[in-house]
Amino acid sequence: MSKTNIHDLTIAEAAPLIAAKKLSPVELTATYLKRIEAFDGALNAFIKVLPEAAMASARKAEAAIMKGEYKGPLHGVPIALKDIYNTKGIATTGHSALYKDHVPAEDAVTTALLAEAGTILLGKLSTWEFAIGGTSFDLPWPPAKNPWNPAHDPAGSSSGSGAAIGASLAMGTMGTDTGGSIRGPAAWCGIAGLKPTYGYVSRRGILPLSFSLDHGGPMCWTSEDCALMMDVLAKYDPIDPGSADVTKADFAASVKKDVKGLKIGVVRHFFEKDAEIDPEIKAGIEASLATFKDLGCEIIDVTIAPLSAYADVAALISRSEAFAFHEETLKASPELYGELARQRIMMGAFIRASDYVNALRERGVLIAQIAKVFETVDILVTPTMPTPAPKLGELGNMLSRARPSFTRPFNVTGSPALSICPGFTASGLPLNMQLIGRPFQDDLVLRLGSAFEKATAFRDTRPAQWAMPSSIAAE
Amino acid sequence: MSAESTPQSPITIDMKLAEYGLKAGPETLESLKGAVADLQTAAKNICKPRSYLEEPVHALRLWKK
Repeated sequence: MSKTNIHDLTIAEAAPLIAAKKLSPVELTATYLKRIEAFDGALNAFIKVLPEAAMASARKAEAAIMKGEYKGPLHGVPIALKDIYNTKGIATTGHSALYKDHVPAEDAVTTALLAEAGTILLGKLSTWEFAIGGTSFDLPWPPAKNPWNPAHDPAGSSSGSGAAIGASLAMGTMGTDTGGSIRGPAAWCGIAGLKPTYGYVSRRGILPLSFSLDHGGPMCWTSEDCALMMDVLAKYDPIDPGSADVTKADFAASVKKDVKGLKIGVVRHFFEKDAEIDPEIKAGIEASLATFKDLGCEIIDVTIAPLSAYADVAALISRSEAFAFHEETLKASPELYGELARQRIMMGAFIRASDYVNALRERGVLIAQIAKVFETVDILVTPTMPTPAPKLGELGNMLSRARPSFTRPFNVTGSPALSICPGFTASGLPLNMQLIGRPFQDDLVLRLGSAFEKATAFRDTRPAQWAMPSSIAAE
Repeated sequence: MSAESTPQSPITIDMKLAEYGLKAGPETLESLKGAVADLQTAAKNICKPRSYLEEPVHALRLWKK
């Protein structure tokens, strides 16, 4: 192994070392806690760090492994959760004054699954307020910053989840995605982030935003690491009415398979006709398509509904459902919401019942249409974000019809969608690309992402400003 | 309805919020003005006759058993 720093290891690289007792979960956790202490003041990725609890979990994991009770690839791996995942006995704030003292009595299902797999919880991460209001400067905690250049925005709403992975402050994080909140931060923070198929990962115990568009999912340095997280996270939850009782893929095995022969459909009209895109992002997509071709994939241009069709449906559904959830607290305590969350949630008050129903009807049409396209291709490709990360505070209103999102269509369709990093701009900010698959073929999406990452050198570059030697003792 | 109280105007937005018992400052009202216009356009775009085949009951049943 050429890597000499512990914090440069991916989960897939660290796991066999941990299993072989060559890498200590205690040392690994201490390394990440030291990095958080040194660097998070400049990034604001964490709302709450849990050093004592993390070290106690690490010691427990190490003792179990030494006794031969190794649980699997996440055992002893330090992770962190977006602060809308309930954690028993630990405040879950939604990055909001309204929930500042909210201490859940139970873990979210996903929190519990990750704990059962032996992960070490380092802490809770910054988010846009209730996963909707950001980037905001009027909340009890400051917004997260971009790990490649802290003067820039990390995107949201899973802003801390993206920043923490980008700056190597955790090996895996959890985000949520209602319109792009995993994939946007993954794009601007230069990491891999998967919005799983609707129903694959339980949302029970996550603070809701829009029940039919919300998804929980992993954010990691590589697609392969996201696959290892999905092997733990993808589990039927009979109590979450959105959870799907399906046969789970073997993600760890699937992600290693060949991608030769895959048919890749490029939704070119999204970024050549429907919306404007930064030239460097476009060049990154074109170069990536050449790499896919070299990997033996077939590249085809495809047409689906225009971006604006998805934007209309997504806006009406998401605003209606968010308003339904927040209406009473918004009436009772509007001053406890930040300006952006208050404004975006209030939009739901202006949607008529018939408009919401029509949006659900149109959603069915769009789902059927994309299923038809997936009869001819295996994966769709689009950009994730139209630009590299703007300066912090310059994000403006991302939700305008004038700037339709490339991510929201796949919340509408429920499709699995992965953002990966296909290079960097001349100024050193990450480029981005989105891979979309058929329902419950999340493993195939991750396979293509992983094959791309292994065929290129972009995963070898980490942000330089967070350097701190942490030698791999076993090497 | 006067020209000053079209659906996009802050006055109407203010009144609508009051109906729900919601309060908003001038900054929020101004931002809502454009956002509400966008929502009205979106609603208009998808308003068309539908058959039972387009009813949303099974829209998210993506799995098959």
